[in-house]
Amino acid sequence: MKKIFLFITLLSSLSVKADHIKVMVTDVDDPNIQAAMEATITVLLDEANAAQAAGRELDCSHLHLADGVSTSLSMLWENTPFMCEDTELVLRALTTSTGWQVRNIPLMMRPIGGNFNEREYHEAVLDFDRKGHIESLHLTIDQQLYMQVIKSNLEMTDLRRRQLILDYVERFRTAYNEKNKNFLEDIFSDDALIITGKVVTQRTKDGIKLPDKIIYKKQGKREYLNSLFAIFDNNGRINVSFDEIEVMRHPTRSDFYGVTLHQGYSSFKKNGAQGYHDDGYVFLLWDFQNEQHPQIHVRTWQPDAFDQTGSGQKTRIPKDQVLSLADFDIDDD
Amino acid sequence: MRTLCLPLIALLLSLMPASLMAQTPADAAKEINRIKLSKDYLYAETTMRDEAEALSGAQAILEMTISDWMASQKKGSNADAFIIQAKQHFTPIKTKRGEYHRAFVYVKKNDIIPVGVGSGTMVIENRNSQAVADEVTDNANEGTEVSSVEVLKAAVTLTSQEKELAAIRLFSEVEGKVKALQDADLLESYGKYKTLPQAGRCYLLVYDRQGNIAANLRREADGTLLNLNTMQDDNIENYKGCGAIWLQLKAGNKE
Repeated sequence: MKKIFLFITLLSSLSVKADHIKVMVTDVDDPNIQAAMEATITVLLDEANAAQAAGRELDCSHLHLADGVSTSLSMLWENTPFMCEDTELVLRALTTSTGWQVRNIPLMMRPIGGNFNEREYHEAVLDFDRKGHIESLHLTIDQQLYMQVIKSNLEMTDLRRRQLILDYVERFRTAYNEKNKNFLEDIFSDDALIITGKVVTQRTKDGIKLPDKIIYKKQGKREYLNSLFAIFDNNGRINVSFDEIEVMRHPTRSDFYGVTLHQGYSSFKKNGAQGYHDDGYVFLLWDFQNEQHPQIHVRTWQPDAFDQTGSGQKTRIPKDQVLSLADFDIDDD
Repeated sequence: MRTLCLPLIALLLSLMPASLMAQTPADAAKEINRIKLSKDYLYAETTMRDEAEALSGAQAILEMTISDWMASQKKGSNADAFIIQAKQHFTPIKTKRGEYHRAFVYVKKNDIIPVGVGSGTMVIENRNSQAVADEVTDNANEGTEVSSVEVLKAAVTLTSQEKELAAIRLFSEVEGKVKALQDADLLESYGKYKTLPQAGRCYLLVYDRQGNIAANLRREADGTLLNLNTMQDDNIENYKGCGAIWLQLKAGNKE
């Protein structure tokens, strides 16, 4: 009988140990900083798992995070509470100009008491400063899109640069979902060119259907953001998703990339009701001359399909009519 | 006592399947972490809904990782040739994260740079090197017979595809040639030497450790080998320490 009790106690202790995530970070030359990074990630993931189990809010007050990181975590948790199911993680730290970056942190998105229609598995990226403190946290782009770019032929572009581009594309996407005005203010260059469009359905007075008309509007950064922030304020939730991606490197300006995305945009009213929805192509001209502070110089939107003949049937626009890097000249100054 | 024990045994039994089921993924995770902690390997992983996509994705990332590592190690500019060789040593570990498939692919750094490294990518073995050397010496003494073979083989005409295969001088050109043949729907199949088909005509591109093509050979259905450059009979044993890629062209492509 004693043996059985002993066995049960042993099993319970194993189960308790499994709740604690063991994190090992490699490729950090300073053992103290390495230990600090490991401890921080462990505490963060343990707290996420504990909050998930208890169905409560995430409490990272004991992590002494910078305000920006706390805000990112809160917004992420509010949108999609997460947890980590791995019990032992070995994570490689990549050296950056400001410290280290730790990628591939596996997270499962698990909403508390609700349905979740999006993908469940995500990976997080943590940036650490030279002292081993978290500088920023974000999720990586969907793995399907990631692979589209990894397997594409981006001449002379290394894995790190591709990851950087994709990280910023994902941060750009989530900035809309999180209504992160500061990020959007920061990411658009002051002289950004923004082209938005709308599809106008046309009929004659007799009710005969005519081909749809696309009206494009050219805006500057301030005008676009003012309009966008008004939409943020007037709606309960915004959901932007990307399901296709194409990245082109500028043939002569090697730090400039054109990114074409197929975007789904939905807004939900404050009472939760579905508001507006459209699907279209978004083109972004990114400038990575300063990798720590990339900028978007151009953002355009086109519908992906519209009634081009008046038949009442929407057809996809041909690929060669989707705006791309070739449609824009970059001045040297 | 028996009454007390039964619920406990039932409890234990209910716990056992869970721990047994977790055993295999746990072992895989443990092995993955062991490799990640070692400095001897390069690795990549992805977690996706589709198992095949996860695996091909991990392989694609590993190829880029190798390319970046080659650049950081200043191991020469011809990374593609080494990646093709390294791919022969890619080892996958497949496990799951919930409903998702986790693919982890790794390669030993020593298997990426074959120059000056032990067994590396040697696929052609010469178990009787002494005997072969003796044979060569003997043949060299039979000048008349060798001359007659030369005359005979000089009459063989190569097809345009064979001439192009014969013109390949660097291992790094092989991948492009394979792709071109695939695009033109001329390639039946191809592979590394150890998977060389026993039947049918095959072309062998034999490469040395420096990434040069040591021989461009045609293997006939009866096993004889023709060197496409010298137009002489050849022997695979002449290329000890080399590797080889074989190709089979589609039937009817003989011009």
